[in-house]
Amino acid sequence: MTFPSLTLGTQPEYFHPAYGSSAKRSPRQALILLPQSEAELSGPVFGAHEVSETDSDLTHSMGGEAIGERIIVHGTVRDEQGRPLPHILVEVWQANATGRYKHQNDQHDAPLDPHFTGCGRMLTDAEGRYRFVTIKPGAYPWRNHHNAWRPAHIHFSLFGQGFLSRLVTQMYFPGDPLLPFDPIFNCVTNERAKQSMVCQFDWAATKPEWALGYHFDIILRGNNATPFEHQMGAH
Amino acid sequence: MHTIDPNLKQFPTPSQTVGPFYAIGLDYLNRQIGGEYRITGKLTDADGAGIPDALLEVWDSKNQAFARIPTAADGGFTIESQAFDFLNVHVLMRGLLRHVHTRVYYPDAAKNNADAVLNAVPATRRATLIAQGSGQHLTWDIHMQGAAETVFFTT
Repeated sequence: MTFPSLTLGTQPEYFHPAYGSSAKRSPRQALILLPQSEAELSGPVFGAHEVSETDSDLTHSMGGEAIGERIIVHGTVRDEQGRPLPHILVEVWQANATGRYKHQNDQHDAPLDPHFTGCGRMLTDAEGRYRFVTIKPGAYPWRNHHNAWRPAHIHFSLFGQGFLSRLVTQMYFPGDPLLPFDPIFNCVTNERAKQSMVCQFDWAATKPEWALGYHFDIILRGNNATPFEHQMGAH
Repeated sequence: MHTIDPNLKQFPTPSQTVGPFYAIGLDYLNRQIGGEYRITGKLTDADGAGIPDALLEVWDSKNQAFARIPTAADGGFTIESQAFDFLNVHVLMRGLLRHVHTRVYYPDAAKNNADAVLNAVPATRRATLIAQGSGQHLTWDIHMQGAAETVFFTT
């Protein structure tokens, strides 16, 4: 049993000239093909002790409520065969409504929100579903090129069936006018793969008088019919 | 609404950079494998400068143990580990749209000379995957580029 190899153009190349900081940090030598073994097909398993109920609500912090457009983000995490992946650790982080991160190195001249840390996490349920409530992040400038702005996005980090399933990605919003100009979003040449990073507005998930819903499904590398025995139960 | 066309192959969601502010979401899970071995090293860029805003994730499949280790201000890092043949390592950082995958081997010449993965690596680059030293205190640097660029794998 091995994972299928990745289809050319559906994942970014390491050196992407339009993304300036890839120049000195991306490998230039040919990658070496590693035969997949149990050492890579297995991976860490996380359990309920890594997350608490409140970790999936990013709108309350330090005894107050965050400012901005409240949204619900939900979806299903699947493997390449479309099988839902239960009990997967999903970690998210993002800028606040003004486009500012709560991080000492973020010098963007936009206000911090004392009631928004921008950090969340959760486990998928038995059907592979996750859901969290947050504030829609703002766009923000960066210095990659003249007048460069990142489109609004939420960072996602996921652990799947094995070490090779590891994924860190970003979720974008539909209709964002900055998307065509963003070298990070556009690093993927396969159009269908690229558009899979854009969530969809979800009327059914929208809660009247409360919050807009967005749907974002994620596919992780892997296709095991039978997980390794040690991965069967969360511990 | 969100629909999946069953006639189209579904690709794994593309990777995007972890960015400079990953600590907001990921720091809570910083942890070591733990054990009496210390692998210390430095992560450097094309100019040989230390990379201060990177993250190492280590998988020790033998002991089913995971480590998440941010690099220090000078690019330095320490992996605390149990006895090992090799560890699988992911490196994530701003500038990498997709994490790189490498391995660090324990400096056991007899074992390593017989290792199929090491033998598939050009001899001139093999040393980039093997920690130096002996006993429990080892050193291993990761070079993203340059003459001593570390071997990175594709799977």
